[in-house]
Amino acid sequence: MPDFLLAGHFTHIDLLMAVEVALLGFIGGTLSGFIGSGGAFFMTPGMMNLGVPGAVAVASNISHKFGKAMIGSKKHGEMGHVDKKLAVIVLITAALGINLAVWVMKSLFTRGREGGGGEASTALSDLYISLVFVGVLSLVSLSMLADIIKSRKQEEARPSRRIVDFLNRFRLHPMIHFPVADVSVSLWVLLVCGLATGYLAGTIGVGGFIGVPAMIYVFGVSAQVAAGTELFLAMFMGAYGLLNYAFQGMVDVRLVVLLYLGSLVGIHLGAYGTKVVRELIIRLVTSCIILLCVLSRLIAIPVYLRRLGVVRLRPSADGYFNSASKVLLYASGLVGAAIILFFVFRAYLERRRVHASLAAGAEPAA
Amino acid sequence: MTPGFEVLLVDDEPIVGKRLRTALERAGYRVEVCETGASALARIEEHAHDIVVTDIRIDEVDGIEILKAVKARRPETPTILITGYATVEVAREALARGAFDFLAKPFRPKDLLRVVDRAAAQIEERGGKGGPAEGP
Amino acid sequence: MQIICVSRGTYEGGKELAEALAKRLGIPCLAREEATDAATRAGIHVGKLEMAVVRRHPLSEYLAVEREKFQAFITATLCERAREEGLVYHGRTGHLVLPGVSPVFRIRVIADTEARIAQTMDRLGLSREKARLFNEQVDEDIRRWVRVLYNVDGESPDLYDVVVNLSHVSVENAASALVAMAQLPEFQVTPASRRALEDLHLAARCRLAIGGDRRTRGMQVRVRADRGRVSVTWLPRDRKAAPAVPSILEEIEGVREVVCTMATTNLLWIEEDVDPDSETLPQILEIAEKWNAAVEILRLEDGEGEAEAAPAGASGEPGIPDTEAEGGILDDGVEVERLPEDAGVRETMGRLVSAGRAGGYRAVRGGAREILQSLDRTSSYSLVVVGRVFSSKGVSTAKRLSRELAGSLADALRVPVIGSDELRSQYLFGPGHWLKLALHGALAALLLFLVFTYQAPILEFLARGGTRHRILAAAALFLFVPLFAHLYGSFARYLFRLMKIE
Repeated sequence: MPDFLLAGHFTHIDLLMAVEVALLGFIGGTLSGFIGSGGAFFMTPGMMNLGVPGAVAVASNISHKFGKAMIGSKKHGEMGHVDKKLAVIVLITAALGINLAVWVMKSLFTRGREGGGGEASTALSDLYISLVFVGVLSLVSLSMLADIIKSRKQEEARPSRRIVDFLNRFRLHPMIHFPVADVSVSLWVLLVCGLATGYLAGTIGVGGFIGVPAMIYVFGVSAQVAAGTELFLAMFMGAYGLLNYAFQGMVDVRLVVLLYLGSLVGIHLGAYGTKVVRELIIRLVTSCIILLCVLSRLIAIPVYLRRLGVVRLRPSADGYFNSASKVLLYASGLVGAAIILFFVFRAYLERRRVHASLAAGAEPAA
Repeated sequence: MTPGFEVLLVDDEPIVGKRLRTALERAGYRVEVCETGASALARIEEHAHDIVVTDIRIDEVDGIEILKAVKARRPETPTILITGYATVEVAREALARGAFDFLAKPFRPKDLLRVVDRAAAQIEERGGKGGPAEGP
Repeated sequence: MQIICVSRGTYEGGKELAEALAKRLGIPCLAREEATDAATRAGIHVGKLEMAVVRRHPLSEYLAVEREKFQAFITATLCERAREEGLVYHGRTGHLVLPGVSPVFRIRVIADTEARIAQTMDRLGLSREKARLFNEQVDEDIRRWVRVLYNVDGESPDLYDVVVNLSHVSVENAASALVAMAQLPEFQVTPASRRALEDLHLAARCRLAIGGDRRTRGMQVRVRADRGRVSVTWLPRDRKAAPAVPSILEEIEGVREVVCTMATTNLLWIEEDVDPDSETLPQILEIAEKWNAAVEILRLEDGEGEAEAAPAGASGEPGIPDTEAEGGILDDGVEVERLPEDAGVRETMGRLVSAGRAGGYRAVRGGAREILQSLDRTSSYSLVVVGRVFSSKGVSTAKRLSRELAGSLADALRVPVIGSDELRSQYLFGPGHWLKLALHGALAALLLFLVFTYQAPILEFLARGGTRHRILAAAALFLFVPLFAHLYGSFARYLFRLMKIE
């Protein structure tokens, strides 16, 4: 491997690392099949912990998402769960958001290199990604947990609807009607949500976490159509992100391939899991996993701060922070995936047992 | 928490009135309960409550009548309607007539409390409560 | 006996018209408000459902159960009230709780926007602008309600037999015209539709009993009845409560037999000649087993749809109301009676039951329209299998008709609809799939191998500077990534299909 490549932003991949990346993909795939979107929140920091620079991790992840969304949206499209009009409008705004994100990332990346060189070259963009990651995802997971606690008594098991109610009261003109999703949404709301979705997708690769809830809770779209439309969107956003990052030379195709190796297997198992687990448990598992990921990223932040010279720490402490962060991330992913796989396996066995007894019970009655 | 706000609670079922009263009082509100529509209308004439909470189906004087009476005298008073027989039409009518919010039974006392708190917050935002409702 | 459903909005005239109709026909009249009040008193949280619609909330699991109970309650109420003399119901879309009962006379009442605004201003004492907004909001809410409950567009005229604009016709005149129309043979309850009503009634009563029992009240179930034979489909997450269901239902009058099936979803199997020894049954069973689905058999009978059976009361067809001795009607009844005697259906149902996969049975005459009318649109199907249908029409016509049928079902239900001959290639693992599995796997492995063998030149290619080169690199990645995803994705999908996890 020529040195000029390793000195840049590509890392050397040995067999162990290859297996680790594929494992990341598998766990990410299982989680995303189960949760319905995302998986990136696990894979991006996971790769960063393996020593991949943040921007490359994000770029590879978004490329990976592109192909995955392409497969998924084809399926949803056949079932009519895709509101193309909604997708196109959000898409245009989201494209702006992604562009902004890529631009910010790129400028941080070069600034880091000019400024400190060496360690500091990636630290700035790493720090930035970590901060956005922690901010957004802790918000998502905490509000999810709050909902669960609120709705424990099988009352309306849905998040508080202040946003929709609030927007419904005003109906800012112009309103646009979407026939497939069967909702009317103000253009301004669309713009803001699209921009935010695109920006976050471009920065941390987790647009789905914002897009799907936004469509369900801000626009009032049904969950199925939201998921289908989001995949359709993700396909274009992934493509756009891929082209952008690839143009900057940030996509490591080896990582993309390794991620696929795991994720496309995991996604089937995760999707099977949602059929056999209660909604409440799905959301509980989801929010806990996200929260642990956030925590793991939080622990890694001091390292970046040190590299930038913001705080004084012994360089040898990097190792501790990094391994703590790594352990936590893997723990969250592994535990989450283990719980999901446990449910899948148990349901599989239960299914057979129940059938046996039902068949036996039904016979004499017939 | 907004202590001292006076809430008029109109519900013909004593048990409902009692439970909601306890919950609201625990949160620091001063609660007056009326069990008939007519007595509620009379009280509204006499006294300026800060917040009104009324069931829709009480007796010959229904919650909508009470809402109208409140809005006619003091349009700024938040009025919250509760009912076990919510329909789209009734809810929209109540909101169009200026109801603050609309709660469908069954709900938990704390659900009502949340709405009442919001109403209280709105009053404070507008510059605090006026009138004789100062707490002891 | 006559069943009339008047769909009305906020305009007062709808109620008056319904009452005038009931008076002239001498049958009872039921308002939606009475029915929903009764449902609320029976412990169903109708108000919560209504408010979820007003507040644009998606339904939670709890509300989804309330929705089922509410629908069952309305169905039971309509069936009960209509049983003796018939009924005029006025509300939103009452006829949708009676799927497959074609003689229901469905009237939609509308009025000019201006007239409605004026009435709202008058009734609520609102300003013109507020009244207009009120009407718009209520219309939107009701549209949403119908969408949430029945998954159809309630304002679409094809849900109704006649639309009356009360701004142009007075209530009295409209009532006279509609009374005359109600006498048409199409709107007379035949023995067949009477039976359909009884089935719906029994299913609704069973659903309410399940919802009313402490042990099972949180269960999401789908109940079908066919002449005292009740099939209940429940979700795997309710496995703890499910064993109580048979003992609850056995208490109910009219239940002869209870079949319980666990399912996460439903498969609809449309066939003209249900044959237990055909290739289709084991294939469908295999898919149902994999997907954990219940199979509902729909026997599509040849011939005109029941609703169209008697254009202008033509010869011999059901032309006279509700007297079983009449030739045409007896014919109809006899034909329906023959169905359970059909050995193929009986045998097939038996096998489905013993596999724990039975999701009910029904027969429909006609085509896509009649099928869609008879379906309960709230239950979720994940696959529709169209077997051999329209066989009397000749080979090529039958092909075209079944293709059209598949198309319109796919449009309306938004799920994959496939022919039974495609089952193996699409959803099961045949010999061809081994080949595809191997091929996709090999290609994916090859790409993987290449990427890692030549990683240095590839990375160099991806990172080299120069605008033209950058565009080239981006384009190459753009093509490569989906290609690999597709190859490896197909490989993984076939692998899981092989392992029966889908």
